[in-house]
Amino acid sequence: MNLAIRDIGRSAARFLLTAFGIGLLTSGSLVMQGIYRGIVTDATKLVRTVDADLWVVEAGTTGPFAETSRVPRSLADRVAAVPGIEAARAFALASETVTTGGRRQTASLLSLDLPDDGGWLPLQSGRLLRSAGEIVTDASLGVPIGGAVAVGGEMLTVVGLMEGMVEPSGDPMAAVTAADFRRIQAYRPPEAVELARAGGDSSTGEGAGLSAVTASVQPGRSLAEVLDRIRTWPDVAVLTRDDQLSLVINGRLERLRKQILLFTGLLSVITAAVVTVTIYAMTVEKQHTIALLKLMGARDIIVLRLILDQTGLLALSGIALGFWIEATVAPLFPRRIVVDTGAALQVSAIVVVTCLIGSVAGIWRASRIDAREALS
Amino acid sequence: MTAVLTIDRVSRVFESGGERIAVLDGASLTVAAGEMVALKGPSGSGKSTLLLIAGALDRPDDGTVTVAGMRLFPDRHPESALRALRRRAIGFVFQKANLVPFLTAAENVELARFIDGAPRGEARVRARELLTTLGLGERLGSLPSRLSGGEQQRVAVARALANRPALILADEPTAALDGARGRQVLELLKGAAKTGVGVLVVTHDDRALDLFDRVVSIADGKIVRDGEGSAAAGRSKAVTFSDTEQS
Repeated sequence: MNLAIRDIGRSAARFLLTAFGIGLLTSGSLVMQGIYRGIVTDATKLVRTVDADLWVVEAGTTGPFAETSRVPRSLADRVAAVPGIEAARAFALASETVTTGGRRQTASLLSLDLPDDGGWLPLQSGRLLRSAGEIVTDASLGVPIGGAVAVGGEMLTVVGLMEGMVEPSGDPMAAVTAADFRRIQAYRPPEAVELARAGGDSSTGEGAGLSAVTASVQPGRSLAEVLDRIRTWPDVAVLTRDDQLSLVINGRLERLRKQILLFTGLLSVITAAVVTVTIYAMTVEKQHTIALLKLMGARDIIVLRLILDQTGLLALSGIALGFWIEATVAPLFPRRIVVDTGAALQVSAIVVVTCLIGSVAGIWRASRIDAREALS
Repeated sequence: MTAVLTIDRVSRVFESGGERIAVLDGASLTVAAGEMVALKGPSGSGKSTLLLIAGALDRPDDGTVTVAGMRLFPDRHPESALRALRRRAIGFVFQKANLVPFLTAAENVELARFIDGAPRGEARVRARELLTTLGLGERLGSLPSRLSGGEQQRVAVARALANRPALILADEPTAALDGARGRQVLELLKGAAKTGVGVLVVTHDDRALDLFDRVVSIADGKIVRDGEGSAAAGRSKAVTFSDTEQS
């Protein structure tokens, strides 16, 4: 006989409303966690997709994902010549304003050295770059294959679409040939060139370098050995893949993580308050029944289970509703929301623990009920 | 007959506003197995306190209390032992039925067996048997709110009998019922007594005293009369419980 379920059956509407409230709070926590994990996924997507063993960046900087890093184009050849290096690739990334169908938006442009570079792009449809004048974009840019994208004075044709290649800010990424990338970087509107000339500045903006050089180490060769060798070069700094990921997650996203953590904590406190009030009220309502159970000789565990079972059911219903609400509303969000197993378990555990804490007041109240109250 | 309740020279004093009030003053009472005893007395005479002490819900200040072979006072027992005594040896019937509102009639009776750790199936069979015997075979699935006052009190009697107690303590079980229904409930308790249960009923109701084996009167915390009731002369009738029900 489960007294908790029978009692809930009597006041099912109120129980469901409370569970729905907990579900809303749970979905809030899930969405916040999902947003954070989505941002982490977006921020690390490029590092993971490039999958380089080493990132050689400008000396004194922590690389293109944290700050401006400029290295000369010749660096790729120098790195490739280091014993133990299997391949070295130029890596250039720049934020540009693109115009699509009269709409201006910001995108991150990646430079690819044809014909070998680009196989690592997560192509969803279409094909990779074959020549200048082409662009592969993330699908979120909203331009179909065959569509045109204007950027830095160039008009490029979309030949392929990628999936999930966006910046933590939500801006889509796009890949262009190294030649197009250089032209786009060097481009200045004619009016700006005239004004610069009038001011005595004759530079054309040419000579934009790379952001970094990525390299893979030959199988069987020591990564540390190669790393130590490059570290002796005074003009560059070198980071491993893990260094780069750690910089992105712990440096760039640290504040965001704290923000999400605090917000989730706040939601947990609200959940605890709601559960405390509800369980306490439900216990007070059952005061006479609990006194009767004690009078009839019920063990404490029976009274405890009456409260804990209700708390558990409330938590489980809240979690189930929370996941349902999250699954319903998540697609409406403009940013990626990643609720993986880790996030699901974490939020569920928080809700269960919060509900158990919330039930303490009810248990305390029940423990104070005297069996003799049943006689009154 | 074996005594299922022995209260010997029990005293209980309460303090109120610095004043000591002797609610029980050397009261003695015995209920034997199979005996139905009425405890009568005016308000404030100590009836309820005596019932609480008999039900292991309060401790006297002096005297000796033994219930179903367990000496409750002056011995000391942990609360868990007192609860075990209550669920196994004592059945309670109250002025109001005190049924759990979210359980059906059958489940209210099953509850006593559930609390005692009985298997669900056994508890269900026992509840069905008792309620059918008490004329509620058609109301097994009814919630208390759907039962009349008399029906509710019959369910309460069935619940008190569910664990085959040695002693039933009833606190004015007829107070909320009309004469006929009140008598019906007392007849049920009498039926239980006939199977060997000791029954102590606190009552104000003189109309059904013929059902009791003994009538004990209490005033100012003292037992002032302990005499044979009409039932001892064999003038009462009662619902008959099968012998197998009380083991």
